[in-house]
Amino acid sequence: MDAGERLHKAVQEGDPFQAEEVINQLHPRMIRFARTLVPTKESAEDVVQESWITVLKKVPDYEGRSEFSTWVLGIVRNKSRTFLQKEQRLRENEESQMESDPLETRFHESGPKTGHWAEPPLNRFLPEYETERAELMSQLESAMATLPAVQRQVTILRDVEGLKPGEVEYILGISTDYQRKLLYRAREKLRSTLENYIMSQRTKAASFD
Amino acid sequence: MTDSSSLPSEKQKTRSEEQQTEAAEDMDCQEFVQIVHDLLRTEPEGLRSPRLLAHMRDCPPCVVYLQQLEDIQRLLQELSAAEDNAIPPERAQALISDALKG
Ligand SMILES: [Zn+2]
Repeated sequence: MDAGERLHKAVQEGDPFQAEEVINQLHPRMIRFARTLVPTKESAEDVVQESWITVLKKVPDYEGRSEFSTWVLGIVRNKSRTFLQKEQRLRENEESQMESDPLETRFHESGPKTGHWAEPPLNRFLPEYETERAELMSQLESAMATLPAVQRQVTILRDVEGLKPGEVEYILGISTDYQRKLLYRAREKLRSTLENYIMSQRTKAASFD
Repeated sequence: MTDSSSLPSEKQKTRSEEQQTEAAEDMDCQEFVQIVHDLLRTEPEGLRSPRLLAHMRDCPPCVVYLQQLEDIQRLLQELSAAEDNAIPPERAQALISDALKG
């Protein structure tokens, strides 16, 4: 039985323990996603609360055509819309910032080495920087927070939740092709943030020598 | 994903020098980067395709680039696992009792 069937059965049979189990299981994922949709933690909690009311009411209509969690995240998305009057304008603004390739200057543009690294990435992050793991995590967390909203949404759903492009298209209404662009930019932002952090640590270390 | 999964395997080394150069010349680093982004997380097996492995064998920076992306995936998982997004029990129970009443 999947989570949807379990919840439906719990509501039908008046089984609060089963219902609570499903709620506990899905709630963190809903909060995580809602936080990419609405500006504050409080509004995310409100959105998820609203979503649960709808989920519990509509669970008899859930037909199993998508994963239950995908269906639930779709409801979170709908509930967030009311918080997002300015979304369209924001999205247009973000799109206009997506013209250039963030890695553009890192490759040779001409000559025999065209398309190969001019300024190669220096180091992987783990386990070389294992001792600084906590700092890497906090750098990553702030970089996530500065991503444009849509990029953050796609990153959470694709890279954290591990959803398939089709599922994300269902939830966010963003085409697979556009997800590809958003994901590239988002990951590149996260990657370059950590890279810059490591470079700055190196410079610091070198100046102590 | 383990670290070794993104590195060229031993088997690949039996291919002739000529084939290697050819395969590597097929692809520049920019193309490598695009392919890797498309495969990451959704199709990790694809990251071991002969074409990618051939490029990585000749191009240490691209190996580092892929490792960086994989490290970020790992850190993202850890970051989200460390968050406390649990629903307070009294709130869950209130939701349920409302739902069961209706
Ligand atoms: Zn390369």
